[in-house]
Amino acid sequence: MNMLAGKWWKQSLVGSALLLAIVLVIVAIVALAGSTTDMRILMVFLINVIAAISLQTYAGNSGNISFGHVGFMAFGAYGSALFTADPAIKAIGIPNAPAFIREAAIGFLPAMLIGTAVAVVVAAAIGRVFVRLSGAAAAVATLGFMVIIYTLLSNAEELTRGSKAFSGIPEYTTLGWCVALLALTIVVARLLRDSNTGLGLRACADDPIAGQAAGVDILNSRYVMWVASAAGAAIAGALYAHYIGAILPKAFHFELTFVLVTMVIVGGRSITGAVAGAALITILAEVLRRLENGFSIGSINLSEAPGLTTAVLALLIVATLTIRPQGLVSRWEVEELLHRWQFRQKEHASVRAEENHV
Amino acid sequence: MHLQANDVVMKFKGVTALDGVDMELRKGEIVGLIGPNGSGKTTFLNVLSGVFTPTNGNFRMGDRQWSKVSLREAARLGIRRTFQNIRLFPSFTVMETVEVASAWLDKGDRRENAQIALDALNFGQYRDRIASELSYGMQRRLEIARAIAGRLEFLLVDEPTAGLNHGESQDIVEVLQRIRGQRGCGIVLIDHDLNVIMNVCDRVIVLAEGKIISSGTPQQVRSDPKVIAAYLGS
Ligand SMILES: Nc1ncnc2c1ncn2[C@@H]1O[C@H](COP(=O)(O)OP(=O)(O)O)[C@@H](O)[C@H]1O
Ligand SMILES: [Mg+2]
Repeated sequence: MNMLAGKWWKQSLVGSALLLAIVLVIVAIVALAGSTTDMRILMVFLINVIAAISLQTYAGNSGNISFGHVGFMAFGAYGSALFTADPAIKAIGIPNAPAFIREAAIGFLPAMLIGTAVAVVVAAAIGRVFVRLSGAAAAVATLGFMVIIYTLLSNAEELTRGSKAFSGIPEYTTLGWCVALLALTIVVARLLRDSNTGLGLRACADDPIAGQAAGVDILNSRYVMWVASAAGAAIAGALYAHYIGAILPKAFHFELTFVLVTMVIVGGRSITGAVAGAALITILAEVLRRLENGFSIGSINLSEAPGLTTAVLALLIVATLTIRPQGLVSRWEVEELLHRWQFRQKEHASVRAEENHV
Repeated sequence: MHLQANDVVMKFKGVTALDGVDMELRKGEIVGLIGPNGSGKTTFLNVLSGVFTPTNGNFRMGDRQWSKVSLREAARLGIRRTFQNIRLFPSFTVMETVEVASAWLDKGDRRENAQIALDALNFGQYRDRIASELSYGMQRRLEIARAIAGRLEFLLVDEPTAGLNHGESQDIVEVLQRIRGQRGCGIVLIDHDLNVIMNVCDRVIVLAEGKIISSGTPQQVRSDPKVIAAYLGS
């Protein structure tokens, strides 16, 4: 049976199911055998995967990287946090916020939808400008967006408490929420990627002249992905806020941007790549974090090595871009990798069979 | 249906690549476009297919008229093309390459439609190969497959046999004739191989320095002193 024949959306669903199954195996192993710390790492991993897949929905399809998606995460986080935090806490923390925010105490899902809606509205409003840019100009513009959002959040004291932490956010984010929303993200991201829009956009990322000569509407396609990816990022932001219980603008700044961009670049250009990149970086970051607390090589004693994680991530990006610029899984999705692997096995088998005949 | 170009002028900084070209193309007809290097052949295809907006001139097809068209709009009008310097999607498979055009320029199941275009070029067992890993000749054929998927009124092919051996060139020629027969489209064929041009073209147009210096049947053009002068004189 050829997995890659038939309707495109059937392949998207098969691929989504496979990818989700792999993630669920990881979840099951950690849930059964892991410590409390491992569970915390797992939760952050799942949230990061949602964020990375969302970033990939724009970057992987359009070929333009974005340094701005943490801005959309911030909208999701603050949007959802503001409408769910206990009014008594808000009365003290943000006494000058508008009453409809100060007095609100709505559920997780509606609050998350508000945060996501804000991100979508902002993305839709600025998107027409961003989709006209390519290459370095596009990257720098998204960087500017990230910095602007950070500055706004840091200065909107009445709403965000400025650069101080906004705490008292109900810890609604459970493993169930993470898995359910990850499943949704994977399916939607795959359908978008494999849709006519996604296919055409990826073609244009390879060659915009040839893509447009095949009828692709490059600007509208980019716009669709831009807005959809903002929505996904906002969902990840909301999950993050309700997991940690406290947020501050600095949480949605260079550091997180760097982590997400590394995941996407190291992983490859597909949704599968975003997951693989997130997994690799999470494991690596965890190992490094433990090292940062102090370790010794022979007689040299490194009692503290702050910034080690960032430095290693930077090295990893450089190494990827020089050694394997297409990323771990390149452009392939999990079912395509399987199909290609099977195909190669068959070819090897037939070559061996021929050799035996001779 | 006719595709008409009127008084097309294309100037690049200091260079006049097209200098008042009038041309009428008919469906079902294979027209050869020849001329010395730099005479403006590729530029004419680029203007016709919306890569460049001409400095002057306009086009008409059926009841539509335009002086400016985007690549995408031209494609939607059924003006399809290949490129002198092959332009595929390097990371795409053969199937995906053609699917893009089926998705955006055709109705119905995009994979079924892409398969039909691939079958027309005998791409059967290559559908999962990566485009950039195909042989040069296959890449040229894949460009044609992509160009015929979806609406096709006029097919513009820019030096499809360049760099191919005799057998591969012959294949391309047969493919083009078959496409014309099956789809009823008009074809504009640019080629350096005059044997190819003389064999398959119903009509030949000769460009030199951005102007049409001769046109007519292959026989007429071959014996035109102006053509002989342009080729020998350059
Ligand atoms: N994009 C461009 N920018 C500047 N000059 C160009 C461009 N494209 C073509 N030309 C010039 O236009 C003239 C015609 O080129 P071209 O159409 O490629 O010729 P041909 O295909 O007949 O060999 C040449 O002098 C070429 O240098
Ligand atoms: Mg040329």
